[in-house]
Amino acid sequence: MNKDQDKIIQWIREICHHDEPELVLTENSELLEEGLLDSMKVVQLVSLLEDMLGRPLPSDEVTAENFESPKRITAMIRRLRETSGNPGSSRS
Amino acid sequence: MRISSWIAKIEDTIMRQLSGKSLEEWTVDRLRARGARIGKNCRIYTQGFSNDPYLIDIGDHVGIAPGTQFVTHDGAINLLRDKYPEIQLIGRITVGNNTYIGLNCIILPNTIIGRNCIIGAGSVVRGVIPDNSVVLGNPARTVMSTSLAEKLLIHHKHRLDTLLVPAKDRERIIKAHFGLL
Repeated sequence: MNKDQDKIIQWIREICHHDEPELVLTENSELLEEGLLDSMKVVQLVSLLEDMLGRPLPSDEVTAENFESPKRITAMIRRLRETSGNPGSSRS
Repeated sequence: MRISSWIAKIEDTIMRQLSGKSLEEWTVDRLRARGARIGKNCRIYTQGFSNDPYLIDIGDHVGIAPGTQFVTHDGAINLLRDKYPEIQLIGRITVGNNTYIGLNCIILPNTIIGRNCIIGAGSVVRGVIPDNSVVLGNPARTVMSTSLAEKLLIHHKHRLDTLLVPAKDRERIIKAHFGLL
């Protein structure tokens, strides 16, 4: 099981709950193409990802490519952890 | 507000009415006449410019929403007014092509905003904002690339292509979209 990815999917569900109470998300859900996120939701999500990472998320990582799907977001977090050697915190 | 300011405002309104120009066209003309450099196809809906518009450079196709203030003087210097009666701190402001500045932003002196940027409503901006940045907050910080914001806007679930639709049809389309019919 991919714990980071599960957590990211859960956060996105929570952030979108008001607009999409019945939202079904998978690792490949197209967050942008399906209009699930808006700019304020992205800012909320970035804040949660920074907690997960244990440091600020560089703004040049907040791109359409990296936020395409939960899978892509998870891959970005993994890559950033590997490049910094920082395991990050584990917000529950 | 002083009586002279009221009179100047009334005069300005009458002159604009006589010119037949929209408020935003009139604003651009007046700012250019006072030395501001403003590019083509700008939509400027604020009157919030300092007394020294010649310190302001605005590129082509820039949108500026109502309530935004361009501040070219640092008012905090008043603290030192007794010691230095003539002191001022002054700065230029530059806005790059194809940038949008949202409602009620404050653009402080010595600020360069790049091309293709979005400045979120209510932001307080100072310093250099790189091209293709979306910035938000006070102090404003870059939160995402403009390419991501573009995708968010294009696929937004409340996107409606109604800008050029006649007013009556537009209202019907919007009401239908939100289930208000």
